[in-house]
Amino acid sequence: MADTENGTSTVAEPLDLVRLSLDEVVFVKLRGDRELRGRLHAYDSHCNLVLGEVEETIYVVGDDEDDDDTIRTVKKNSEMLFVRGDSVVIIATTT
Amino acid sequence: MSFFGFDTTLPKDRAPNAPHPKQAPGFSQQQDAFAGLSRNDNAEEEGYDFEDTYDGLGDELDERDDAFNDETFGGSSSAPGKDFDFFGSTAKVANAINEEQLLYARGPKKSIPQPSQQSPVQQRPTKQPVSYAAATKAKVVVKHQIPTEIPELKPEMSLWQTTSPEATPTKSMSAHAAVHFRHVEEPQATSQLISAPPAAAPTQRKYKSLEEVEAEILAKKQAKLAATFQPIQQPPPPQPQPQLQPPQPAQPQLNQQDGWPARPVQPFPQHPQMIPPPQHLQQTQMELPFPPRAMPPPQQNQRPPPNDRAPEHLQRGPIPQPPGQMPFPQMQPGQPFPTNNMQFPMGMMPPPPHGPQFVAIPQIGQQQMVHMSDEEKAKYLEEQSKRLKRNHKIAQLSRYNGLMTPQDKNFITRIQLQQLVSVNEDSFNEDFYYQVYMAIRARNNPQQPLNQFAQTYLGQQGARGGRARRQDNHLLRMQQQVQRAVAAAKARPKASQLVLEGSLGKISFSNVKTPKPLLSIKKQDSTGATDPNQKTSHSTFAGIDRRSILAAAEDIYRCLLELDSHERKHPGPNLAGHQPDAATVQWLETRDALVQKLWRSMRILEPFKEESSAPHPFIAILSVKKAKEAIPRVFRYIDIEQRITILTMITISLDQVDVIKDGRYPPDAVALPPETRRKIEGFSQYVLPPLLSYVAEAQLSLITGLLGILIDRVNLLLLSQTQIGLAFLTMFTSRAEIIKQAGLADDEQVLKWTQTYDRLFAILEDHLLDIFPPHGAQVDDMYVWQFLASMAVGANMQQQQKMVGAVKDRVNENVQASKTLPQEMGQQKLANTNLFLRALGLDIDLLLA
Amino acid sequence: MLFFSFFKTLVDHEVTIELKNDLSIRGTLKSVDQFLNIKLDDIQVVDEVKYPHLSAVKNVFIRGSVVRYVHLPANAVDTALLEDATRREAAAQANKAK
Repeated sequence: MADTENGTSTVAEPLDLVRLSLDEVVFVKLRGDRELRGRLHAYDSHCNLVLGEVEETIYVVGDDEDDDDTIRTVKKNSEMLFVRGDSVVIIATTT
Repeated sequence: MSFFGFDTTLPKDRAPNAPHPKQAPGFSQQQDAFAGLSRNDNAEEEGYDFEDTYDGLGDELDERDDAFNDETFGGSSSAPGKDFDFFGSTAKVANAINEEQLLYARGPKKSIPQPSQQSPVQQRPTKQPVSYAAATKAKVVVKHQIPTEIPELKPEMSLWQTTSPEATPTKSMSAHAAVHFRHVEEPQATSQLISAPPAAAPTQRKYKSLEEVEAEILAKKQAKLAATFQPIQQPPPPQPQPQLQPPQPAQPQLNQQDGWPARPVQPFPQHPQMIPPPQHLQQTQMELPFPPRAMPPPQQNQRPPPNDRAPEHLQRGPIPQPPGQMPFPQMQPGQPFPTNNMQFPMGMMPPPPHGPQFVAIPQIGQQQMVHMSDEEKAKYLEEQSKRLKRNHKIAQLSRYNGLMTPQDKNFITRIQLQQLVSVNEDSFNEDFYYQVYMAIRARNNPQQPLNQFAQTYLGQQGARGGRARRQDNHLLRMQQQVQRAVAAAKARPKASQLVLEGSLGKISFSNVKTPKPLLSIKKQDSTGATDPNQKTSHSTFAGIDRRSILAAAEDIYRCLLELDSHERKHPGPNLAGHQPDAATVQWLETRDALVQKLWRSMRILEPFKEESSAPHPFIAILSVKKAKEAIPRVFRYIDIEQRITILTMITISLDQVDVIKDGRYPPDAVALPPETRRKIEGFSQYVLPPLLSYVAEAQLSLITGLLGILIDRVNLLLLSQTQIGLAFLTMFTSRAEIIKQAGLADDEQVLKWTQTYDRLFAILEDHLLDIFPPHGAQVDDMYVWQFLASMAVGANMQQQQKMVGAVKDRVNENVQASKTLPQEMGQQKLANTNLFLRALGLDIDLLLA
Repeated sequence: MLFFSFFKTLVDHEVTIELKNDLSIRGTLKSVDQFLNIKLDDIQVVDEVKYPHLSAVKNVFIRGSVVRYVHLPANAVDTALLEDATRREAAAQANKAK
């Protein structure tokens, strides 16, 4: 890995990984069967996030009349979204 | 029988005046709040009313099974005594209640509520002392053990006699005479008090008491404090007092906790004898709040021993003040609450802490007053009262004076300042986004200085939203002050240790920001200069691993931010002029170091790895969006040489730059993938402008060299089929043409350029149609026409003809298409095409015509 | 404090707050505190038919912890600056840890 003189690029703690994804598109898994995909503009130690150009995917189970087993997905878009950290489960980079 | 202690006897069976209170003290308490007053006047009426209104339903009750009541509710034989501790819980909050009562008392004096318990007592003495006493005795006798208190009541008697001779002596004697003089006295006293007001002339009493008080004070010179107030205040209080007194006496005893007792005291301030007994009374009373007081006193009095415990408990409650001050036994309860006293002339005394201040002035006044005329007196008194008020205020304020030593204050001040400093230092970082965002927005209107974020921050508070300016002014001043303090603190050498002369050891400091280290663990100096190991890690930079690339990009930003921060610390313009001061020199040195760091973080000087197909690290980093966005910011800090290096590096590796590598339209596709489009957009938005601005000032030789590199090392055909590639070519050729036309280059340079241009043309001339985006692509093809135009300008006649021949179809196409398109888009297309035609010396109008 | 700072710049902008109970409220951001509690004015429940009980409410105080999302106007966000602020925050955190 590339260490610069100040060695800041070493990933010292988990959130440093998130820092690398600043201004990149990330995948965020949330409580309540929700997923987000959007450009990461900000985060803090609580995993509060600000994402841009977000596509939210919500997985709804058996919402339809008869079959309870089907999983429906609902997609929503938002140009800029603040996500409260206590809902965040995973923050992953996308390639 | 009574379950809750109510008197279940039918009205007719009752003693006319016998109230329920004895058995139900808890209930009566509330009810009687105002009963005392009313009863004095209406005791009879009440009894009458009940009889009148009683419907007799109670008589019809089936009482067959009442025999079992005892089993159910406990023995009926025993009187429903004072077992209920309704009062007990109340006693716990006695203090609070007292205070409330005091508050209440201050307000409406006339409506002084009298505890119900007491009221019964009062009534009885007046109307039917004997019967009441008897009744109470029967019930209460056994249980209540209040006697101890009573013995000490003697003084009261004397008081009463002196003040209101008429009623008290006789009645008290008659009522309790048989049983016990002293013990009885307490009840008597209460009764007397009660009875006295109605019977005797209260007014007379008042005057007397006042006069007496004054006389005494003057004579003894004791009433230093009171003296001043007495003349003024006393007159009013006496009047209300007499009226109140009747009820009060009873109350005080019963309600000592309530704080009421205090009032009664005033009328009888002169009797010193009373003092000692009161304390005892209080104690006893406290213990048995209700029953004892309300209950027939005589019997209670007889049992002194049980009281032993009582006194102790009582003491918890209101602590009796020094006996000396309490003229009246009943007073004692009130005394604990200085506030009460305040109301009365003597009241001024209560605030013990201030005592001395107040006293001094009033004393003199008192003595002099005797010889003054009324007017003078009034005037003097007025002044005096003002002074006293002021004194009192001061005393209130100065109550806590001297609690802290100057050293203490110093210490606190330092702590506060320290925190302010740290807060202020951090505020920019903590609130970076807000501060800068607002600064940027603010700069749009007023002439905000650039980059002066620190100033902006401090000034921002005031400038933010002009409306809030005025209110923020003091804040601003405060902040400036803090800023100065911070500067001073920083100027101070930061020693972490202090060696005092003659001391054996070192004293280490600590503060909020640098706590005293308990362990000294050496951290690897991460900010140190480059070391060989790190160099090697540089060279091992793979450039492929995406995470590495991102990390490298973050490094660039880190350096940029450090530089930005450093920029804010600029010492400011050197007013002296020529010789830069030390601060500036140091600042510049640091800046250079940071720029160097930034430069290294770009990895642009890392060697090419010929053997690998991987792009150069810099180019790899450049593939990241944020790295592209960083380029303009980097250009702000780096010098010309470094800019050339970057331009060269990009040019050499141009076909490996992502926007070109992926920038060619895939076969059969009419559009680029969105991701690529975004990248191209980002590249033209962030990377091209700084490069262009540099190229726009570059020498022809440099342009020629760069174009040569492109021709020699880069896949020109690929280049020409991408937007960014064409942009580079356009950039070079147009700049060269400008230089040529401006005559800024010598012939040799021009010749070299021409040769290079010819090579370029030769490569592209057969592929001119390929540089266009595919048919049907919904993109603006302006960049193509721009390129063609720049080529045409530099081309000779022969080359121009070839170009025209190659793109003639495309031109016609555009002209046709523009006619079918909406007006605006059509015009745009024509304008684009016209760019090229104009370069050839033609015009689109010719074609249209 | 990054997000506190961030939200302060959004005061007087129209935002939509989605709560963890799926209720969405649109309104003008009036104030925010360090816990990211939020005050909204002129509110409107997005799915008013479903949540009619709030139709008479004009402004609300929302406890920060019940917020799931806040939908923001993109043009009120300076993303580059925000990223810089985030990096600063991260660096400050790292320094504190040291």
